[in-house]
Amino acid sequence: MNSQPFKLLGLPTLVLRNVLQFFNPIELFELSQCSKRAFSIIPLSGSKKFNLRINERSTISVNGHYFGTYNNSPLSENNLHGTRTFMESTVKAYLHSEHELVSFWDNRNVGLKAVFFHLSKVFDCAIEYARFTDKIPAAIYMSIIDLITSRQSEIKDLTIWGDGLTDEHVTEIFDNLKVTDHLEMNYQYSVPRPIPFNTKSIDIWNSSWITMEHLKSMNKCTVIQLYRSTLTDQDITLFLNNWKSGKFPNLQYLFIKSSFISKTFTAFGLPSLTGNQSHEKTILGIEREIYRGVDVRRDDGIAAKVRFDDKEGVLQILVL
Amino acid sequence: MTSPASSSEVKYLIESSEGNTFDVSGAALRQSNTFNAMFLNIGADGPIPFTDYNEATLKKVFEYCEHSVNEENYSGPKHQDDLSKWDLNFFNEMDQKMFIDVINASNFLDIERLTSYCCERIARMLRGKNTQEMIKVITLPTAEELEAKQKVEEKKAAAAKKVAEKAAETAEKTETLEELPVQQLVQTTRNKLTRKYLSFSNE
Repeated sequence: MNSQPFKLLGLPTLVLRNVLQFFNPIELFELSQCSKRAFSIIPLSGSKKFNLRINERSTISVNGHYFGTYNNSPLSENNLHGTRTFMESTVKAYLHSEHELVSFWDNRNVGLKAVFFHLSKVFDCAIEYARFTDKIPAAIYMSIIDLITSRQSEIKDLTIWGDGLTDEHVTEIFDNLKVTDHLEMNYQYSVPRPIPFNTKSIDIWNSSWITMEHLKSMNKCTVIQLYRSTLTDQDITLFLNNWKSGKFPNLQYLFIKSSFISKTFTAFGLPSLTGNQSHEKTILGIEREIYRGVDVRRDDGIAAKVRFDDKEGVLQILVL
Repeated sequence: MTSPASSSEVKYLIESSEGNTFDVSGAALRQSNTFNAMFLNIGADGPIPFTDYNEATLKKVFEYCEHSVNEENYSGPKHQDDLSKWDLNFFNEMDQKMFIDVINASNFLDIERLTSYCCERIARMLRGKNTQEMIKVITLPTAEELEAKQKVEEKKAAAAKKVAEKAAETAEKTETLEELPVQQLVQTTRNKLTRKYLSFSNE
């Protein structure tokens, strides 16, 4: 067949759909940039079944294909292969590999929002993760959340972290979005309020606002990790008794670090550390480890290792 | 041909846009889901009108079907690297116009294997390219062309309706057959189609 320009968009719809099904998300994105009409045909490829993620380090991915956003720099000038348009913004960009397209922005956070909004339009698919390892301005963070909640009521994985977020923002998020698999919070409530902690795994990096009532409401969780906690000996003893009696039936791993636990605290009156053995177990895809744990059984016979490190103020439970 | 042992020996007459007719084996024609849906069990009273496509295109499409009669049932897209020498020659010897005509006809006749191979061939022209490179490969349609495309699709739908009407008309003529047991019905249909083919051959 000769190499004359081919009228791709003139093909019958069913044929066009079959052709598009051979493309990966980067190729579909590149095609969408050709014209408005090209943009409009992308959902024919079945892209509604794709999943869109905001990953760590402000990288967006669609089915394992990455759309990186970076700040403009002299270095970026060397590799530029053209421009791409995201929403109303046309910026420098290039194909870093067949799996990654990189774009450069005066403000990376603005870029993250524009790329995310744009891709959600191109692929019209569910948003699975919204993970943030960088603190982004609350206005941008909340506009991303608003877009997600306008499209769906659940998300698998969410990080709550924004510069300037308020208690009202965070409550609004919990009111509108159910986090099913993993919740990570870098936000610290100024006035603690009841939160629906019904996620499989919870990491709270500053949990000074977490009360015993909050901890009790995590009774469906598989993994709980609380850093900078203010829970006391009395709270921890109450929690341990609840856990032992079976009130946290799904809990596989717990980590609480609190400087409010006294040096003399002991779990169930047992010695804090024994032997020098470590135990590991992969839980929800991540390897968890406990070192020098004490053997404890729940009332239903389930065996676990419990460790309290009085120097660090860390309590750990690993269900075996 | 006298009484055929199997339906694969049954021949059907196909009519092209020029009004020309040529025959195609039942086995080849059965790769078309459009044919299966409309004619397989009831037969065709006269040539089957695929008059939206010219003779050269239809012959090319059925050349492919005749060739793949003995291949396994279609089970999803096959990578171009897995195509046989015959398949590659088949695609390579077409110019772009013929290729597009073949895709359109294959799509209308719903021949999954051929349509899928054609689509992967098109995808290959674009895969791994960036936007600027893609724009060089594809011609972006004007508003007038988009309007024309819509009209063509409407025309195709009307043609499909016409073929369906023809099938319904044939079905009416065989209404008494419906009361027969299935096996007897199939044999009766085969005999009828054979007689029909012989009568065409004698004309």
